[in-house]
Amino acid sequence: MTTEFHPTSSPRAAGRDVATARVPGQTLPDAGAFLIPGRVGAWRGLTPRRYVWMLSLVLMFALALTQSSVRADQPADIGQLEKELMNPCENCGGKPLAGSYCGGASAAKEELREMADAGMSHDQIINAFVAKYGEWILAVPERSGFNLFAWILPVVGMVLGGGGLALFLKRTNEARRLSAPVPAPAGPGPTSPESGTGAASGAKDMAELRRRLECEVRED
Amino acid sequence: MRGNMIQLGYYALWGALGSAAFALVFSVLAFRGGREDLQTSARHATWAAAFFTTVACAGIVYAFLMGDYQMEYVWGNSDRDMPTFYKLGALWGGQSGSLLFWGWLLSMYTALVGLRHRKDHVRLMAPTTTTLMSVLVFFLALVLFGTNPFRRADFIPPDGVGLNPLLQHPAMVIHPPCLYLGMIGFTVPFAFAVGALVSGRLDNDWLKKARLWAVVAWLFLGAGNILGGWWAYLELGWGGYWAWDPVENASFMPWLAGTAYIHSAMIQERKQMLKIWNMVLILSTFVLTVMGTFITRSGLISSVHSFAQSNIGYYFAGFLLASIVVSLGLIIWRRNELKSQQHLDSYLSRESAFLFGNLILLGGAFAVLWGTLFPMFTEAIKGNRISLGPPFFNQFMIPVGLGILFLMGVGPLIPWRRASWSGLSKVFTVPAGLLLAAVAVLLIFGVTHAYALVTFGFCAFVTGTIFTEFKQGIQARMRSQGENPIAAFFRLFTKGQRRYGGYIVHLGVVIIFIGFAGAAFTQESETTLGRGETWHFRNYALTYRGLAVEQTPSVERISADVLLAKNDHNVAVMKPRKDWYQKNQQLASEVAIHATLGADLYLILASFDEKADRASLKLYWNPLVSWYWIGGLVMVLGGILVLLPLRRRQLT
Repeated sequence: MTTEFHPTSSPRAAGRDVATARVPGQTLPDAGAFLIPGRVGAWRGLTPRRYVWMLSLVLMFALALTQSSVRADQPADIGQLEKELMNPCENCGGKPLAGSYCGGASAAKEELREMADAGMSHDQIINAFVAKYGEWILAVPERSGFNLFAWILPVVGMVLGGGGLALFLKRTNEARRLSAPVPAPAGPGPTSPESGTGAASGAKDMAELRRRLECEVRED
Repeated sequence: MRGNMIQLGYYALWGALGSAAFALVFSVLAFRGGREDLQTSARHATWAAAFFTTVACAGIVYAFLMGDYQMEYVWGNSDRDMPTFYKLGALWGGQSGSLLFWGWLLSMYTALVGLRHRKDHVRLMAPTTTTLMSVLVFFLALVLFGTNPFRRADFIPPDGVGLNPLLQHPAMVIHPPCLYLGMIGFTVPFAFAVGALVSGRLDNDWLKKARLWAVVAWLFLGAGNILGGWWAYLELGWGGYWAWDPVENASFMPWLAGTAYIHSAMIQERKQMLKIWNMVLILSTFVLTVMGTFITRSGLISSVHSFAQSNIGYYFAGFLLASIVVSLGLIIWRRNELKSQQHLDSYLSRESAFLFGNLILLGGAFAVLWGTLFPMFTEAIKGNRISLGPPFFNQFMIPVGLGILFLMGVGPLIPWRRASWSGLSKVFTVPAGLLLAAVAVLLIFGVTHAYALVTFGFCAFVTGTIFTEFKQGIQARMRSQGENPIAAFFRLFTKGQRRYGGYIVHLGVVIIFIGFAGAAFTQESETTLGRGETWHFRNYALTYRGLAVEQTPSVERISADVLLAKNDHNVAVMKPRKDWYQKNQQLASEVAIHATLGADLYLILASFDEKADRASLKLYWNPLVSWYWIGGLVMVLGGILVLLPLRRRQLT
C-alpha cells in the first residue's frame, strides 16, 4: 500500500478521521448487537478465552490509530522539510522535494538549507516557502476550509459504505428469518448445521468442516 | 520500399477499424436473430481486426528500426543512438503509439476470447463481442483521428529527439505492456457482464467464463504495478518504489476494484447472491481502467509520466460517460432478474468477511481516486493550486492495507453461511497465537513502531491461517487417499487449484506487507567526501575512492567509486552515477544499490566537484525492500498456479 511511514511528521488529525470511519466495522459487542438485532445472544457466552481474542483485536486496531499527535513548532529538520515540501520545478514537479535532483529542486534545497542555517524554525521555513510559491508547495495542504473536503469525503464514503453494508446485512438477515423454513438449494455439500454458541456446536462445526474438506480434496 | 511498408501499416489501421466495425454490426445482427452463422462472421472479423492491428504495429516498429524520422512519432520518440531493444519499446513510449498498442492488445484479447469461446452460446457471446468491438472501435478511431502515429512532416529531419533517458531502462520496456495487459484485460470480464445483462443469461455461466480473464488481467496489473515500482526504485533515485503519483494511482485503483470483484464473484458463484453488486464492481473496474488511461494520456494531471497534452481528453470523457450510462442503464433494466436467490445467514460468516473486504478495498480505491482528482477540483472551483502528496495517501491507505491484511487472515478460515464463536476460537488458535507471539518477540527486541508492529503481527496471523488451511487439506488427503504428506501437499494444487493457488497469492501479499513494514525504519543521511575519506553509517563504512568519467558519443557518465565495508569487511564496490544526455540536455541519476534480504543500502551521487575531487553522497538504508520484490514474485507464481491447466492434464 505504501512506502512511507511518517511516524513523527504527519497525521496530526488523521488518526481521528480514520477512527470515525472504522467504528461501524469493529467487532465491539454493542455495535454487533446494534447492527444485527436478534443476534445479541451470540454475545452471551463471553468466556475469558473469547474475551482475550477480542481484546487483542481491539488493542491492535487501537494501536494502529494512536499515530496522531499535534506537534509544536520545532527547529528545522532538513530531511523532514524536504518531505513536507513539493519540488517547485515546473517541468519535473508533482513529487516531494526529497528525492528530486533536478536543477529546480537543487536550488530549492539550497534555499532551504540557507534558511535553516539562518536559524529559522520549521514553521517559519514552511511559511516562507508558502509565501514565495503558493499553497501548492506544501505536500499536504493546510487542513482548513475547502481543503477539508479532501479528508472528509473518503471518510464519508467509508461510513456510507459501512452503513450500506450494515443495512444490507440487517435486511438480508430479516428476510432470512421470514423465509426460514425454505431450505437453501445451492452450495456444494449439505448446508451447515444451525449453530448455537455452545462448545458442542463448535466441535460440530469443525467436524462438518473437516468432512467437507475431505469431499473437496478427494480424488473422484 | 521502406515507405511502402510503413504506408501499409497506415492502411492496416483503416482495415482494423473496418473489421472491428464489421464485427460490431454482425454481432448485433447475430444477437437479434440468434444466428450462429452471423456470429461466426463476426468472430472472423475480430480475427481480421487482430491481424490488421498487428500489421499496423509492425509498420511503426519497422519505421523505428529503419529510422524514418520524417514520421513525427518516430522523430519524437527515438534517435539514431538508441539501442534496438529500446526502439522496440518506443512503440509505446509516446501517446499515439501507446494508444495503438492498447488497441492491438485489445484486439488480441478479443481474438483469443473468440477462439476459446467459439462453441459458446450465441446469445451470450454476440453482445460480449459487440461490447469488446465498441471499445476497440473507440480506441482505433482515437488513434486514426485523434493522434495518428503515421503522420509525416513535410521535411526530413536528420535525426530524432530521442526517448526520455529516464525511460530507457529494461523495466520500462517490460512494465508498460504488463500494465496494459492488465488494464485492457479487464475489458473482457466487463464485456461478459454486459453480454449477460443484454441477453438476460444472468446465471453463473458468464461469471465462470469471465473468471479466467479476470484473473489473467488482475495478475498482469499487479505484476505491472510492482515492475513500475522496481523501475522507480532503480531509476528515479528517491529511495522508494511508490510515491502516490497520479499515474501510479491510475493503475492501482482498478487493481483494488478488480481484487474486490474477483473475491465477490466467488460468493455469487457459490450462493447466487450479490449479482447486482458484482455487476457494479466489474463496471467500476472497467471504468477505472479507462479513467487510468484518461489520466495518463490526456495530460489532465501533470506528472512525470504524462508527456502529452492534447484534445483527446474530451473523447475519453465522452467514452467514460457513455460506458457508465449504458452499463448502469442495463443493470437497472435487469434489476428484477438480478435479485438474490439467497440470503446472508449471519454476519459472522465468510460471506460477510468478504463483504467487509469489498468495503475496505473500494473505500481505498475511492480515497485514492479522490486524492488524485482533488487538486484538480480545487483548481477548477477555487482557482488555487494545491498538492496532495504521499503523507495524505498514507494516512488513508495504511489503515486500509492493514484492514485488508487482517481480513485475509479471517476469510479463509471462517466457515461459509454461519460461524459460531466457539468454533472460531478453535479454528483461529494457531493464527492468533502466532500473531501474539510475533508481537511479543518484536516488543522484546525493542520494536515499538505501532504500524510496523501491527503489520508484522497481522502478517504472522495470515501466515498462520494459510498454514492451517494447508495443514487441514493435507490431513484430509492423508485420511481419504492414504497419501504421504508431501504427495498430499502437491496434489492439493491439482485438486483444489483455485483455492490453494489463491493461498500462495495471499502468501505473496503477506511477504509484500513485510516489505511495507520495513519502510517504517528507513534511515537517510548525506555527506560530502574527499578522496580517501571514509563515512561511517550504522555498521557500514563507505570510502570514496575518486571519480571516473566515461564518454560516449551521446552520454557522459560520471561515477563515484565507493568501497562499501560492513562490520569491517569489504562487501562491495558501489558506483553511483550521473549521466549527462547531451541531446536531451538532461541529467539522470543512476543509483547504486547493495541489496540484501535484511536491508538495501541505496546510494545516490547527489553532486560532485571534479577539480577538488569531492563527491556529495546521499544514502538511504531501506530495510526489507527485497521482500517487496520477492512477495511480488510469489504472488505471480500463485496466480500462475491458479491458471495452469493442471486438472485437464491429469485426465489425459
